[in-house]
Amino acid sequence: MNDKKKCSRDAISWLPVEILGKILSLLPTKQAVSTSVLSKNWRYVFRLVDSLDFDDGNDKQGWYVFPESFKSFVDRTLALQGDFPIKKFTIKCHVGKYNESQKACVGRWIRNVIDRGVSEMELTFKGPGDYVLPHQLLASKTLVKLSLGTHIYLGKLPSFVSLPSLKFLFLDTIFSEHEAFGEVLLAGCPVLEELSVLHGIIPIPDTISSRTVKRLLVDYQCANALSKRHLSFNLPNLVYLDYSDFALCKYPQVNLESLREAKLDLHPTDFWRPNLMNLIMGIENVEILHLSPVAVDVIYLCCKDGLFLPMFNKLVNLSFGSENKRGWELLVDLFKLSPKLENLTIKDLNGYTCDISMPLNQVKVLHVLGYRATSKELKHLKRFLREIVCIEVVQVDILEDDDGKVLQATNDLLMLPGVSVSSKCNVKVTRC
Amino acid sequence: MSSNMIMLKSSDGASFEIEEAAARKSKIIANMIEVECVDEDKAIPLQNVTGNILALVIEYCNKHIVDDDDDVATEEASEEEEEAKKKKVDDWEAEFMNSMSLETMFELLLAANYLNIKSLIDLVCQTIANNIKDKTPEEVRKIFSIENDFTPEEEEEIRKENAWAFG
Repeated sequence: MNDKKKCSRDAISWLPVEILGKILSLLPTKQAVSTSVLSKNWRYVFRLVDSLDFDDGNDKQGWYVFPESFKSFVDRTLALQGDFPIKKFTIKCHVGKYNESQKACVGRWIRNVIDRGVSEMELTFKGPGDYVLPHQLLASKTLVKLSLGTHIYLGKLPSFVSLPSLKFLFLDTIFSEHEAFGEVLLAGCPVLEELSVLHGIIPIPDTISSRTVKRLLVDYQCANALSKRHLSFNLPNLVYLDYSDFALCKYPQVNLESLREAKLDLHPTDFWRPNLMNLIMGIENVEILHLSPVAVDVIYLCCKDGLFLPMFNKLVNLSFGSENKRGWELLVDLFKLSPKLENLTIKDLNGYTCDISMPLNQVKVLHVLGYRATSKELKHLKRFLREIVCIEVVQVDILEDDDGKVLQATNDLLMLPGVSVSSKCNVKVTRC
Repeated sequence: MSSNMIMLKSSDGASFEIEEAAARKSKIIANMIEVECVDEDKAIPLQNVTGNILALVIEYCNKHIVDDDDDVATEEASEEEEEAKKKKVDDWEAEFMNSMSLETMFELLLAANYLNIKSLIDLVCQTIANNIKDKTPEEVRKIFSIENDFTPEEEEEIRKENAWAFG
């Protein structure tokens, strides 16, 4: 922004130190510490920062361990800070799998900031490690946001897990004893609002249950998730669900009575026959629904297998991806079951076959993503628009680098009103 | 919207009229209004703030009080509208900060600190941090005219103490 600006006199050094500390808190810790060399005034200003981030700077997987200079840097910075309150602590480093002194060292750093009332903590361990967390972390009264990953071993959790202020919990590749996640960890977070579980808690829990969680992201798409399993959701206050997984053989209990938005990405598997009944019934009250192309295909096949789709009486926004004719047949059903549907987002028109006609619908806004401006797509779009009589806005995101092609496609699209659709329809073209 | 106006007087004697709702962005003034029952005809004297800086503070407060009111009125606003509004405020803030010299920025920061206007303190601190970010100590010294009063030996010693930071 103000890269060219310069000061004619040293006014910054005379700002109150607590303000200088605030400014340095907004910089990466490495750079904040480097201000110690500016002048005598600046020698120890960096110790006032209330946000610390340490990164051992090496993204190699393998058996790398953090170097001694990194250890003494973190040790020294924490020691200089004494017992000042701290808001945020981020650490990204390798910890040797069999290096007990490094593990002890990281444990000491974590305990240090917990004792100083840290409210936001992000721990990322790179490479194989099976790091075990210090138990103090799970009894912090001040933590509001906790992000843990990867290869952290929760072990057998102590029964005193109590995180009374925790609102945001993000977990990436965490190992635990069976039942530790649901019955101990979640139960110990009485005000949790947002939960994100990437690549699983292993073993994978069979129930995710919380009375307070409003947003949930689950991504269980990994090879070791390929064992027959069930999953129940008991989240009466959940508003937003983003769920990516294999389509499971059973969802025994799905209680999502407050859900407004669902994103489903369900993958097929040859190992079992999925049963989506409870899951689909559980999301029938959503206003916004996103279905990935694979999820569309899986749901279509389940329907052929006897899955009964409920009415989606509140559905207004549908985002839909399909790579083949089957998906478009499912869209016909969704049109029939969603009387309030007004906004339709289509990812990729290529799968559309012009011989499917859509039932009468109220769609007013059509948003096409990933339009590559082929003549086939244009033909499909024209044909599809004939099925949507109430259309008011067509927005097309063109995915194409060639300027000439974009211009041609834009011209073609802007010609649509009056030809394929009502001349009152507004066509917007954006390039992405 | 409250149309209660109050008067503020800068250290160099300039008077400014400001809506009470805008002035309340300053915790200090808000306290004065509540505790001391500010006299409507009398200006609140602000001994640590000069007129040109106070004008900037008032510009900022006026801009943000309007936005706060909007927030209340349109709680149901869609995500897109919220985003558009946020972008408008961000653009205004970027332009506001861009229009002043670093020296003015420091004075504004001191005034915001004295008046206890948290969002303005955050904005100015962030802008100054952006000016330091990714710069070497030599570049930072140059930008802010900081005189290096270490001997080369002392400087070398500090670099060694925090070797990781200078690696």
